[in-house]
Amino acid sequence: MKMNLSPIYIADDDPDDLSIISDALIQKLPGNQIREFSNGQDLVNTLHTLSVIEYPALIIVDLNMPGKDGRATVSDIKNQPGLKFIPVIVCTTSTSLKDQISCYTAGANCYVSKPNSFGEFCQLISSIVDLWLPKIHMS
Amino acid sequence: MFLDNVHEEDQQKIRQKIQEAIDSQSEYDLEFRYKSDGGYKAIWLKGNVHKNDKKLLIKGTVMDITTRYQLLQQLKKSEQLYKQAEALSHIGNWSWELKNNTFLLSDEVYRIFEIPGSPVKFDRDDFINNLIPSERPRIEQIIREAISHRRPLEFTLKYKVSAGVIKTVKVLGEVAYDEYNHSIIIIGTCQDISVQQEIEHKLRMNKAELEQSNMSLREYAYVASHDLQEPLRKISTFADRLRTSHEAELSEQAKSHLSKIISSSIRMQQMIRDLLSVSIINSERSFENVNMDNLFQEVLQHFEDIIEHKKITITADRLPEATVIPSQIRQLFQNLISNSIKFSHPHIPCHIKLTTSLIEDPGDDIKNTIPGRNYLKIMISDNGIGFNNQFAEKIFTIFQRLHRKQVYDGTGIGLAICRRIAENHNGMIKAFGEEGKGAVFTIIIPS
Repeated sequence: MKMNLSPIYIADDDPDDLSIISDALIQKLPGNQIREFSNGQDLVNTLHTLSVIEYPALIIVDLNMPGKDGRATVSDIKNQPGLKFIPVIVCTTSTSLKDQISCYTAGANCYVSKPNSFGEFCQLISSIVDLWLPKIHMS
Repeated sequence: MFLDNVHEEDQQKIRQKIQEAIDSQSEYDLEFRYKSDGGYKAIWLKGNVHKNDKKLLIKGTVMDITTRYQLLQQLKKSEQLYKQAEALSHIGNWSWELKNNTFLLSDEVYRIFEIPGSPVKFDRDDFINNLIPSERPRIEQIIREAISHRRPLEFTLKYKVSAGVIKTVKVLGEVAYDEYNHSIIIIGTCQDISVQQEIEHKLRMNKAELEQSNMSLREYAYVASHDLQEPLRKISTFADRLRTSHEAELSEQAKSHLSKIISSSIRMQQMIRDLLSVSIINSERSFENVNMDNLFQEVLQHFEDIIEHKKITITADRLPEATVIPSQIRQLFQNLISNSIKFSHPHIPCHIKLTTSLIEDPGDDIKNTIPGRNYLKIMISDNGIGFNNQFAEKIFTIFQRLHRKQVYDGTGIGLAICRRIAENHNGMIKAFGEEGKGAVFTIIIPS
């Protein structure tokens, strides 16, 4: 049996994409708590108000967002000793090598492109969850 | 008798001058031409007239000045030539005597600096006063240093020729010293370079504008790659969600319509990406001297599996070295080979042939040929389905396709990219097709 106690945080300025990612997550992890943010700054501000046991298990951020973009958000999280262990996935429409390199340099755990269909989105989210949330499997 | 041998044009002058001397009983001094050995001699006649016992006495000396006269004529001629040359080249000559601080200026200098009438006294102070004030210390410094360091003089200056008119003048000079090592004179040239400066300025402006427009283009490409694709991705994603989440309720026709929405939006995304790849090709221009054969072999390796699977025969001449953009030539080969494979005959085994030759003159195929450069001609031919030759030009247009996409996929960008690549190399590509028999693509680039 699988129990996910920790929530998953998503930051994306596009409400459609927020709902697509949320829906794909719900399909994979029914009942798991999800928190949506429309920009990186709100997400980082929220993280700073949390106690350790409230930390999210996974963060998914868009790259191109007004204000604090995905790269800066990753950089903020990875520069905080208490937060840096949280896996951060950059999920973006950009396929440019420059963006990939800058995100990985900032400390992103993974860089993925947004797919063209909901089916592919579900597959992608499923793979991300399988890869980055194995530590909270309980038997 | 005497006057008969004087040049016709000088006779009147002699009569008049002598008469004047007689009337006033004074000196006379005249030069005239005198007939001798079929030509004329130049004669100088000088003397005086005075009355003695009511007798008129004319005394004088005669001197043959032919040689001096000829030299003088030559000097006048060469001076004239020199003035013409100066006027043509617009380079003025000047010398500046340091001791008495005077300038000796050629006509062109007066023209350049628009100094009214040459007899006007013009010295160092006049010159300095007309300099743009901010220029004065700099130029005085340059002149001082040239004198003290025995350095050739070279500078450009801004000079106010009249109200509101400022010229840019380039000045070169050399300081001469006397035997006591005192600087005595500076001799040099000057040239009005205002027009050149203006052209240079315009060129710089154009270059800046071009850079600006290139930057806008890159920005445009970025917008196309991100923002234009966004709505399309949404269309396909939500149509897909609609199809899967309402699978039970939807009719077969509705599902088919949704599929068409999805495939069209995905296709448009592909087209935007293709369009971008063309703009990227235009921005990358790093030429290298490479072995073209290696590039071709790399491309064949890329198609290794399909070549083996489809039993494709490839015969190719050995390609020489050339100065090209390697990634682009690789892509050119890749697009052409991929085309030949894609449009191979369904019943005849595919045979692709590459031949190459060096040519001296590409003839009308290339508009602006580079003189003295040899050209490399590469022909890639196949025995595929070919095409009606009336479309030989059309197929190089972006998104032009000769077949329905249901039969042969692709957006129709491959050959458009090939043409851009050939043009980037100052070369060309053309096609020849015969329906049912095959196609030949000819590339000509400077070798």
